[in-house]
Amino acid sequence: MNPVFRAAAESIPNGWILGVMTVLFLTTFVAWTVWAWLPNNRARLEAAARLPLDEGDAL
Amino acid sequence: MSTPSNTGGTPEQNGAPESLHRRLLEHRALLFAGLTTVGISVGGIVEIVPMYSASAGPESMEGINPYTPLELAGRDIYIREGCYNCHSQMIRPMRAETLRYGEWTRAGEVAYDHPFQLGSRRIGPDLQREGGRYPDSWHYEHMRDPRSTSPGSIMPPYPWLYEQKYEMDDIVATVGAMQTLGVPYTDSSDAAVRQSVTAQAGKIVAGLKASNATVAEDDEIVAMIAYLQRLGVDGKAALAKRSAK
Amino acid sequence: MEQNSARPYDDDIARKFVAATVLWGVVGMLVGVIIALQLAWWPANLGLPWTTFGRLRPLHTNAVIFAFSANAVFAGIYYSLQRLLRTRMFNDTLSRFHFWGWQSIIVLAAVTLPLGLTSGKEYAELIWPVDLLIAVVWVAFAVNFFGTIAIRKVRHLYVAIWFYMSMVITITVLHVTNSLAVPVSFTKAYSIYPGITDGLVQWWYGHNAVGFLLTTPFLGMMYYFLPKAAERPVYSYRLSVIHFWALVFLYIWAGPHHLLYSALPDWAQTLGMVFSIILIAPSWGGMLNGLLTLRGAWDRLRTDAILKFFVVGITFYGMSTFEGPMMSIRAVNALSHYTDWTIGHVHSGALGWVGMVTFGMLYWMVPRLWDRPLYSPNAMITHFWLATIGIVLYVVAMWTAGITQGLMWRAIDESTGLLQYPNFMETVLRLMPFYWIRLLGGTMYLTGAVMMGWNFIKTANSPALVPATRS
Repeated sequence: MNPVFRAAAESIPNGWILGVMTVLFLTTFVAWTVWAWLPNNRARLEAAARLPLDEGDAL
Repeated sequence: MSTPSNTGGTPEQNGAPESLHRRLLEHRALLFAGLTTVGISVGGIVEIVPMYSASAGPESMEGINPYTPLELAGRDIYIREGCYNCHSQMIRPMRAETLRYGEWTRAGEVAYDHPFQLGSRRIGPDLQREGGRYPDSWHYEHMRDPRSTSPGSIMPPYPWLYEQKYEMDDIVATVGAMQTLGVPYTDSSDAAVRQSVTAQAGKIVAGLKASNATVAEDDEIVAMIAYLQRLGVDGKAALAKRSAK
Repeated sequence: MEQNSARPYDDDIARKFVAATVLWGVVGMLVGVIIALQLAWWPANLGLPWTTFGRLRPLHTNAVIFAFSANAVFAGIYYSLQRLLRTRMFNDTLSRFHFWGWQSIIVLAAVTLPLGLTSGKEYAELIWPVDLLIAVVWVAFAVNFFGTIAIRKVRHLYVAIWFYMSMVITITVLHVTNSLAVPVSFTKAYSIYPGITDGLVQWWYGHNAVGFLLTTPFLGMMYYFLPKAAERPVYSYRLSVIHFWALVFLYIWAGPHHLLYSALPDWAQTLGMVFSIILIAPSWGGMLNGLLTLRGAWDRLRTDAILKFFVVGITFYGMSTFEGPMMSIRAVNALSHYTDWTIGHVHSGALGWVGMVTFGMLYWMVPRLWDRPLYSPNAMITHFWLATIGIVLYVVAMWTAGITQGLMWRAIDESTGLLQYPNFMETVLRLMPFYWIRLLGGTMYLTGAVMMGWNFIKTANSPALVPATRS
């Protein structure tokens, strides 16, 4: 097998890649959550929520 | 992504400065799609790539040999009939399972399985160590009339396996494909495959004849019996050898 | 609100997919009832190769997943996407190609699977030429989908579209990766992955097909059709955009919970278990968001059958996304795995969540798509009760059967150290009463679906409420 592929395969279970990724993704997610709950985004998100209702359906 | 020509009167057009998120994500559907792709790929890559390390491959266990060509033909029939819908081939490391079925299943034992047949539901019993559990004649009777050997069974009978024939050319092609996939067959030539099939089928037919069952060498049931009788046999021997050490 | 009268929405394509959903739904459920009968009464296998359980069970699963559910998703997307983006679909020919291509895939599946032509991988049984056709049709749909987004007249992509998009992308990745195989003939190929790796790839695919074909697009449809039916916006838009990313990122890891206690390496099993449990959070975020959308309008539930369908569907979603993580805990899985408990779990998701949300959506869409009032609101109510009672019978029978058999398998007589039920058959025969109850529940559910089909045909053939000339 391709030695690079094998090395990648052997390294992932060792944990350090998982650790780095976990921190990275968790940080991104927390930032995203904070953004969604920022007071100045409130009106905009509430307006977005009305999109299906304000569509002026042909019917 | 094209710039929308018309905001359609939606409320967000009314002045508020655009946040980074909106400019980068919602107005750039392709970037959004790219992020989604990354999000869904991470888990798959992290879990699947390491499977190509040594611990899951055939080298993790000594004494496991590829299926014989006839057994491969039987395996094809097993897959065609959808046996995996009712029978698992994966014994879990629990006392109740090893008491019922024998040694639990190791990764190396199924390393030559393309596709895997671990199964997910036991409407019937696990078959991973089925090999050698019953004589050939039992399987011969059981596949034709499951209730003759297992009273109360809900398995359907498979009478067509006693009429339909396996094709030698198909087996040759299958062995070739397995070789392409890295299964170590030393000789996948037409002649070698034919010789192997004939020899193994002949033995099974002779054995069945001794118990008053008449079959032709190229009946599908012969290949099916060959496959079922092989299941788990190598692993059992390898594990016995390991524990003897 | 501005309406582009020069290019009205393409509702014909939505009508086509609605019809296909109902037709294949009835077919898929009928096959389900037949195989349920086969388990209770084996002579129903008929002694023919193409009618045995082993060949019909894949036909049932493929029909309800890729014919019923997928057509429902396409119907919902073609209806809502155009309206949310205030534009007609990007290309009508691609829409038609998608429709006829997808239906021909289904017909090919219905022919090949009973013939025993299969790849042998659960939920991905279709042979490689059909797999290729799926890829081509899917790409055509994706081009049309992203093309429509590109020509949209609204800047913000409503959250329902995010969920649709995650399906379009993920199903492509899953299908291509899992289907890789070496062909030996036009009807046969062998998976390129070996043994336990093939198992992991397969369950990564299988679990996420549930996630991204039967969960995220249905959440998207919930976020569109529930506010329409309830005539109020979703409870919390913030929650919806948060749980979207959480769901998309977390879902993909949970596949190995199908291989607990198997030869799969322990670290992978543990990852699968941990992520499955965390998955409760975004799943319940979606459920609560759906249910709370009805806050202050619960009284309408008494009279509005469409809301009834949605509420029962969302409740089953909450229940099965609680049950799933529980079953991913090793100690629980040790009992539940390989038993009918899994079958019960799947059906509380399929009949409860996917089925009920689809029915609610169809009952809402059909009068609008055909410009006629529903022919029989009473039949709709009857359908609701038949389906609800049918699901309860089905799921309770399967829980009981699963736990009964699981306990019998593991019972050890401690005085002798031997199995209490060494004969496997004993544990099978004990299930027969539950198999008959399951058959009854399934038949009720099927009957409801047939009534819905009849109701829609009657609706389409009744006089129009308003002239069919549209704005």
